[in-house]
Amino acid sequence: MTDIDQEKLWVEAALAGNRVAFAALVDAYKNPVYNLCYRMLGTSAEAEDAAQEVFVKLYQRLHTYDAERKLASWVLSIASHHCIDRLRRRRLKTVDIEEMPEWQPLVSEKPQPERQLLMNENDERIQQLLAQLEPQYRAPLIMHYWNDFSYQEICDATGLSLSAVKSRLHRARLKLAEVMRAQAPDLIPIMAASREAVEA
Amino acid sequence: MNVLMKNCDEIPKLFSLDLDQALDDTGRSRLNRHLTDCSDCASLVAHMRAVDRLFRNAPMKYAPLGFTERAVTAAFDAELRRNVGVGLGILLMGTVMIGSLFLLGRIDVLWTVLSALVSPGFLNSVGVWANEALVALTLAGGALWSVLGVFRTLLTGPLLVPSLISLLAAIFIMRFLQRTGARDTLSA
Repeated sequence: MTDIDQEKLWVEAALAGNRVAFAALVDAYKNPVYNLCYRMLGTSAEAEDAAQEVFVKLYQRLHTYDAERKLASWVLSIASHHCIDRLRRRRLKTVDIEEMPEWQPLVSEKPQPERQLLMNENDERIQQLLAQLEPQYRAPLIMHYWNDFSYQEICDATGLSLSAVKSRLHRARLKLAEVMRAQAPDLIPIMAASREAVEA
Repeated sequence: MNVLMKNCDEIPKLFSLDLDQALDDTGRSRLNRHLTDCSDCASLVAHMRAVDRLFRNAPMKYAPLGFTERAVTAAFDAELRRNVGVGLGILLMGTVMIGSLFLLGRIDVLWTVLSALVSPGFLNSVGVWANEALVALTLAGGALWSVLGVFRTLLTGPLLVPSLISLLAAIFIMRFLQRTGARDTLSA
């Protein structure tokens, strides 16, 4: 039995009120959903709340799921729309470039602890960069990088056209590159050094 | 750069496609030619590549321990709350309808419907002839089938409790009215 068949069985059983089947669905998608919420919203606490709300919505809308559609796209579609709604409600105040701290990646002599530190530093940097983007630009980028979604899968999950997906990805990257360049024009050699430190 | 300015706008787009391995050979050669001659675009592209690497190497954030149980409980609790709300809404509607029929003095409508549902032998008690009874049974069967369809939906799943309460309330009211009617008849 393929994973897709298994998922369909879980959906059918969950629709009949089977708690174990729904738990299996949650278990299968909790990390992609949580990661998307965290990357979209920026904090662990808010991400957990949002991810939980996503699964509540998912359970309530399970009867509308079209079995022809890829379940991952459908689940992340609910998650991304939920996060965008949350961000709209919150009326996220975007951080000004000048307000952002300087990028100073660490170069270490002791690889193991510093590696973790560097990863944390990079993760924080990623969140600061993502915060620069409008929510509708964040979602395709997250699906692309963390979920390995193809253009078509992003179309399915976001409801955008193929050209819109390509456009949003390139605009998001362009915006982030401009932010990075404004903060650290000579970033490239520093990043290369950081990467070597991570790989060491 | 000025000579190439007209092409600068398309470079981020071409490079973005290239990062996703979605750029054809023609586009790639146009991109490379431009980057050789335009230092500004080369710098921008280098930063785009840096962003790409940063994101590509970023680890997935994992849901905290116990998340599954909490999410499942939250989903089932929310569903239960919703169904109880719907059930109470149905109960309220039923009460309003019964109350309205009572106030309008048309409780016989309710009596007929409920009798058809809970007392299969009611047709004999009203003394109809065999042919008429057959016609009435056919009509009642059709109506019953429709009503049962609704009740089947209501009586399965989480609506069971509110549906039963609604049904019991209706039966109770019917019996109460029946007894009141009998007492009034005796008194008269």
